[in-house]
Amino acid sequence: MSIASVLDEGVSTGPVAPARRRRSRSHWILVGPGLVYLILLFVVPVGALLATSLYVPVPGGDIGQYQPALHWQNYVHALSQFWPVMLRSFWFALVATVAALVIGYPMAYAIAVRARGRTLLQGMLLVLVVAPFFTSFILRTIAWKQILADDSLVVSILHWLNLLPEDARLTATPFAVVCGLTYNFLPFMVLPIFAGLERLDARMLEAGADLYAAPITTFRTVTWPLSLPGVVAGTLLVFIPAVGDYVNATLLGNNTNTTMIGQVIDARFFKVLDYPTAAALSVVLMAAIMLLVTVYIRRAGTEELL
Amino acid sequence: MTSTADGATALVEDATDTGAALEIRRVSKVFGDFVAVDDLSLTVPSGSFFALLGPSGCGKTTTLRMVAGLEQPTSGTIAIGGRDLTGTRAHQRPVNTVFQSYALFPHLSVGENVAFGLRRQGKSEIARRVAEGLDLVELAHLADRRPAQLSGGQQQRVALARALVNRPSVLLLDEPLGALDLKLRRQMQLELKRIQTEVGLTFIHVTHDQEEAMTMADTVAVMNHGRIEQMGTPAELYELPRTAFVANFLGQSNLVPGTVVERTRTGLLAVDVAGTRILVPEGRSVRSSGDVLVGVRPEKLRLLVGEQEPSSTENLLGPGTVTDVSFTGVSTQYQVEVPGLGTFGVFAQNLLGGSMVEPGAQVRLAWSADFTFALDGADAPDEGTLDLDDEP
Repeated sequence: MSIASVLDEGVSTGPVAPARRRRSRSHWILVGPGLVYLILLFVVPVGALLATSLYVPVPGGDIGQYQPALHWQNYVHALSQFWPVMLRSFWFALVATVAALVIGYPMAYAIAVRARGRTLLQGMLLVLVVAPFFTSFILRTIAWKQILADDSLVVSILHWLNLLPEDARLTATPFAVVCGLTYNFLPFMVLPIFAGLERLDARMLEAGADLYAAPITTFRTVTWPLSLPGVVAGTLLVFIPAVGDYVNATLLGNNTNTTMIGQVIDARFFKVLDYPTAAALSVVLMAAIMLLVTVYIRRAGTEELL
Repeated sequence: MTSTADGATALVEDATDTGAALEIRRVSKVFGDFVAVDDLSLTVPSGSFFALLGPSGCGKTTTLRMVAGLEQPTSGTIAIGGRDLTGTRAHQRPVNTVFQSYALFPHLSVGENVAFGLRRQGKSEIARRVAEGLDLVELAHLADRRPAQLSGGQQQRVALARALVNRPSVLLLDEPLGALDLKLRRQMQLELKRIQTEVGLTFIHVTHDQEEAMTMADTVAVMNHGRIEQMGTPAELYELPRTAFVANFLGQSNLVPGTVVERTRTGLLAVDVAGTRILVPEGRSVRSSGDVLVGVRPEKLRLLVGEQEPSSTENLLGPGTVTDVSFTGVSTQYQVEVPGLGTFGVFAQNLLGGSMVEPGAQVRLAWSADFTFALDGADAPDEGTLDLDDEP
């Protein structure tokens, strides 16, 4: 029930009004804690972020000293300097999302549809999907550094197959960063798609076959459209955190052609103490993601997710 | 409903060649240790409305799924329209199914659901065919709705239209009315029969509801334990069951054990039932010697009260005690306990209104020898009597 309808019921009059007022009070009691939490930990910080993004340095003050202002130039300055990094972040996140979808969909399909009815197998496979979360995100990312290191098996094999030039390496490349992003966010792709496919009625597939659709056609015309809500949820859960990620870019990239916007915000805030620029970049990132996600959900025809 | 008539005519014209026969030859299906279908052979003539009737687990649905190509037989062959299609997959067979759960595609409109099979086959004039199909089930006005917005009965008809528009050689119906309430089910039975007559396709209808099978089908095959017990028109099966299972599963029967003692010159078998001589036409007995089960349907029985005497062509049992009288409007059902033989059910039409006797009355049972049948004495008299109305 939305807040609007809660308010509607609160102000309505007539013979049933007292009962409604009581009900509306219980609505507020139920909504209250979440609302307080959101206001304190979301609305207030976002307001502070917006305000900070417009601050100016204190004249004659130390580094890191700013005062309130409405200096919109901060945005122009931040974007003109960092738009290539911003663009690269979205690009890396997009490639990682597509890769996670290509890898994750078959996994989810295998667990949900192929292993259907074999509860033990399904459970074990799901544990395998989630198992990486049992160890630290940082540790796993560092492990990828070793997997892709110059003396690693992967690089040796690629050299031997002549797929990688003799002097080329994998670490500190966009490839390594995208690999890390894909790997780290893969479970967020697999789980929603699994949940969607799990609900898929096997009789739908039989109906498809019965109506002259070969297996591949049944997949295209029945399975895929019915799994779209899961796919949309999965792609969002991978894309949104991937855009703002800086751990993979730092540990697996750390090169001028791998810098992501998260690294810039981190550096501006903690190293350069340039709070307004960091805040302006954060606001732009947030707005851009919201815009993209809205357009994406509209296009995918899954408005019920909004 | 002029549009309905037009749509139906078009479907009929196109269907004349495609209503081909189904031939199942010595098919078995084994799941692990369980024999679902046991050496089953069956021929369904073109254009007929055929029912596979039996309790759950009798193999009727497995048989249907093997015809659809959703299961492959362990052995035996399945030919549709004279072509052996054993081993081919579901999408390669000229067969369509109306599923028990309808299995409509929730992401497609009603019209797109109906168009699905036509599109896959690359048919032309899809819009016209879909409109005809929906006309036939009287749902043309709902073509743009989603299945979830329809009632159960409407969904059922969409499922039927979705299968019918493809004009399959064989249309399979898997308990299609099972999810509907009783009144709607009766209405849909008549409608299905009307549609089948109009389009002239071969319908194979799987059901556990004997009344449904008898109302709609021209031929009924009664299945039990993966085999066909008996096959025939509903009237044949009812009037002359050949096994105790059929006698009890289709309607009710009074079955009592006896021994054949004599073959008369008039083509009758004389059977000794607990000391009473019962006559059975020889053609209505499964065996002509040894132990038999003598049977008669409840509505063929007549209650004789007091000094009333049977006619010379009637069999007579009793006396017995009336233990129960239930008035059902059209008829009255009596339970009569005959010592040494068990309880007999008697249905009497209320021609003169009300019941003739009260519980506790002493009566004798008479019925025409022509309506008596005799089964193999090795059959269990109560086989097939379980109440199966509440199964899915």
